Amino acid sequence: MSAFNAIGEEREIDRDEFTPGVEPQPTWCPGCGDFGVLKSLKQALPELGKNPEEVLTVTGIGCSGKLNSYLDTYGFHTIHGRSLPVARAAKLANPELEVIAAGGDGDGYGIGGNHWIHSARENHDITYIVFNNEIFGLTKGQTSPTSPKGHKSKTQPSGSAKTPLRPLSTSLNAGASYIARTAAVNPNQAKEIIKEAIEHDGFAHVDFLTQCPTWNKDARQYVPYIDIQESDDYEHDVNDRAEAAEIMRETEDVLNEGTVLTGRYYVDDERPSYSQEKHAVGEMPDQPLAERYFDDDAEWERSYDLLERHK
Amino acid sequence: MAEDLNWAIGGEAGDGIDSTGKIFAQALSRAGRHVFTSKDFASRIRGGYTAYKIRTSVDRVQSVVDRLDILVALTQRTIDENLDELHDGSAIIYDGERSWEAEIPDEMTAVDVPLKSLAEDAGGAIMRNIVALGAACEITGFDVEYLDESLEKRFGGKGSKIVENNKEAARLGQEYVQENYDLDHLGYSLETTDEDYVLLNGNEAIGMGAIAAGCRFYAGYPITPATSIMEYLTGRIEDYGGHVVQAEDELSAINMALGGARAGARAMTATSGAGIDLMTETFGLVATSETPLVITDVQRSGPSTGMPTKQEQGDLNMALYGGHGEVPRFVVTPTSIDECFWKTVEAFNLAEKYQTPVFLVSDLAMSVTEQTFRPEAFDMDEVEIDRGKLVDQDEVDEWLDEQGRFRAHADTDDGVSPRAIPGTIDGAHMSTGLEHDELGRRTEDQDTRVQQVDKRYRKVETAEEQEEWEYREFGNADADNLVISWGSNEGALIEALDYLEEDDIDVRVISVPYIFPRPDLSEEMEAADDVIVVEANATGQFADLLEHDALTRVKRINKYTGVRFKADELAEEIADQLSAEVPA
Ligand SMILES: Cc1ncc(C[n+]2csc(CCOP(=O)(O)OP(=O)(O)O)c2C)c(N)n1
Ligand code: SF4
Ligand SMILES: [Mg+2]
Repeated sequence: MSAFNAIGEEREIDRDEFTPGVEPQPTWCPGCGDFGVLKSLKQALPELGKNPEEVLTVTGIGCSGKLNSYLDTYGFHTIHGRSLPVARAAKLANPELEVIAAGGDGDGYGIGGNHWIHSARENHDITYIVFNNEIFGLTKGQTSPTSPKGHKSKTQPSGSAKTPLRPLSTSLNAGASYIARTAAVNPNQAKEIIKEAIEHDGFAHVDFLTQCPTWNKDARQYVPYIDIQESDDYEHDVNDRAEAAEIMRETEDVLNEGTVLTGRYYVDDERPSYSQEKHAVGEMPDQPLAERYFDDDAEWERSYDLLERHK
Repeated sequence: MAEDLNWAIGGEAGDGIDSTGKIFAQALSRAGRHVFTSKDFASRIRGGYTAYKIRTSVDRVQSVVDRLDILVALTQRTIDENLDELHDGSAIIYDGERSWEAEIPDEMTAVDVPLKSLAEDAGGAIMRNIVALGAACEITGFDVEYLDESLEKRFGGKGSKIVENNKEAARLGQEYVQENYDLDHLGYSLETTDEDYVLLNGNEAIGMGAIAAGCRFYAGYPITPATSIMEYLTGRIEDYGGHVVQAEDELSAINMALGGARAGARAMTATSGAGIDLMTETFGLVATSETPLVITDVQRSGPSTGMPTKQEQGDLNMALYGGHGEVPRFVVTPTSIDECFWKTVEAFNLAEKYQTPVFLVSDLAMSVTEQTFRPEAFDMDEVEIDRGKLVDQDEVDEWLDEQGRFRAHADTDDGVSPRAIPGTIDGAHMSTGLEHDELGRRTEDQDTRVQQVDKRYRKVETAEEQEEWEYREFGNADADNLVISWGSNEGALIEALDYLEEDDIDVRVISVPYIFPRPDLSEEMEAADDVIVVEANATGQFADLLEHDALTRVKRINKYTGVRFKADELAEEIADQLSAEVPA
């Protein structure tokens, strides 16, 4: 049994439990796609039987970073770009927690990009939701790593000269073991994908298209969208890396032409997570690192034998 | 004081200098002799001069001095680099069969030993350094058998054949000198005692202190000279239920340590030089989210890439002021290797009791120096762990507001709020680097802002009252001359006192292990005729603080050559400064 009483507690979880008494009304702009992420989480978590207090939501800085102010879990709001290191370490220290990291495209694909690549490479067992609005929202509409080529902003007045980053392909190459894209305008799919991502053992990356009606006016609202699993025009095996790579590329190519493809792209259930691999080589103890601290019976282990090797 | 011996082996980086030196140091320690080691080295792995130096005596030794008695030189550069420290009575062991022609000053004793050939006789040229150790034993009258246990320890994992070959190599070196030279041990006879010492360096002491203090999560990114803390913990902390992460960069390292701490594990990161710069942004997040975290900075020479393998105490201001805005924190600066252990334990307790970042500031000199101690210096039974106001499931309820919400940043009398770990029923809350209210809700409300800033600084005030921030004192407490130092200079100062005493100079030494909060030294400074502040940096960062504290002027001894203070050199400088004018 866990020393943390919220973990594994069996009871009916009500959807409202995830709406905090603290700050129930989000301050996002009307029509903002960020509402879609919040809604899908509020649906997914109770359906998975998660107790709010066994969930840790770690966010970055941006409009998206406010997510955990509106979601009643243990919440930690980091600095710009650093949600992933905090999240994955918390998961290592207490694997029984459900750890969700979230942030914007600037936060995750730009300033924090190195952490994303390495969290995927090491296949940390956390869920990572990127609110991809193809813009810096909070700082009022500057160009982001996913802004389309030619997109004009105050900092790139002649239009971005750069091709946007490929979130799905990059994640696949880096080693993520669950990769999906969904959109705020597609709430049912979003909820199901979030549930799968949370259930997945390993690094689950959800590129969540969240329209920003305030600063990204010339961007579409990501409608109409196509679910690649539902549409007859697309067929690929989500367990097949090569097929996944191909359809990811196409998805990224056509997005800026107005075709919004969404769905599950890649699932690898075989790849061991960071902690499984470390456990296998004896570098990760059986007991959670944080656990023993609450065990009243456990004496502090005094490290007498450490001195021996210095004799 | 008993007679001391200064011994060194030097050559190219990659020649196995370090491990050979360590074998000799261990042998001396096992023979009940004190040792104090130091290293000259370049950051390149191969190529470039490197040396391992040992000062040994039956009395405690805690500094290097400007004197070298026995030198094993694998290259001419080793001799050239040390000409200042070598003296007429010095002996130099070298291999005359090697391609270089040794140029050894006439007054010194040149001991030509065919290191390579003898090593080959014992089973392989690779053991030539061990042959040299045997030769050194003979020259100093130190029984070659003392090497055996260290050789077993070093090579035991490679099989008994290798161990036996090495023992043989040592004996061949010893016999060669005995048969071919009539040195009469150059007058040395290395006394032995029954003491059972432990031999360790500052980074090992920090690593050991961390485990003893219950650290269960470490995240780091390799950088000289901090890496050996990580290497020490790896493969050991697991036995105590912990884990070490090698992160992708220092930004990740400190944020991972923070994440581990949030989840409830005692956590630490360690770095140096550029690494501490990269971590700076997170200092404020640690402080405002009120997360306990130990951040270790093993200082090296800067700025920028500076001199990565050289000594400096240049990061004091960084530790005190690093980060934008005003970041409450503690700055602890261990003054010796055994204190590296105790201050690490203390750092973890301070961090958790006050939910505040604690900077543990050590330096390169301590990190590479191996020193002998009685095992009691690290008495694990003395280690106490205080997790502060960490609340468990039964205590959470005392901290809920009328609507049942957990007050993670409750404004308490002592400034310290309760801390609930994720997974605890009723403890859910937000925590953020944004200014926030008691519940963790972000706010820009003026009153709440002031309440929270005051509350965070009140923790420091509480700590100032409740904890001991004592300085360490040596020499004559009534002396008119006061020398103040922080960090690792303590050992050299203690030994400098002996030299000063010979010249009838009376000095009181105050060694400061806490920079923030720090002991108030104004009375001590006022009582002295002369105050000299010693530190290994160019600008006198600590001297500036003391001048500010006491509203007075001090004299300064600053060294920023990249080389640590030596006892004899310090004594001379102190004597010079005492006769100089106080700056206006
Ligand atoms: C180190 C640092 N640099 C810059 C900023 C300013 N800043 C805050 S949010 C942000 C970008 C936000 O864009 P994104 O991550 O896409 O989030 P969104 O607001 O679109 O959800 C920037 C540049 C900061 N907070 N920290
Ligand atoms: S600025 Fe854009 S991203 Fe931010 S809240 Fe408004 S609509 Fe949403
Ligand atoms: Mg964005």
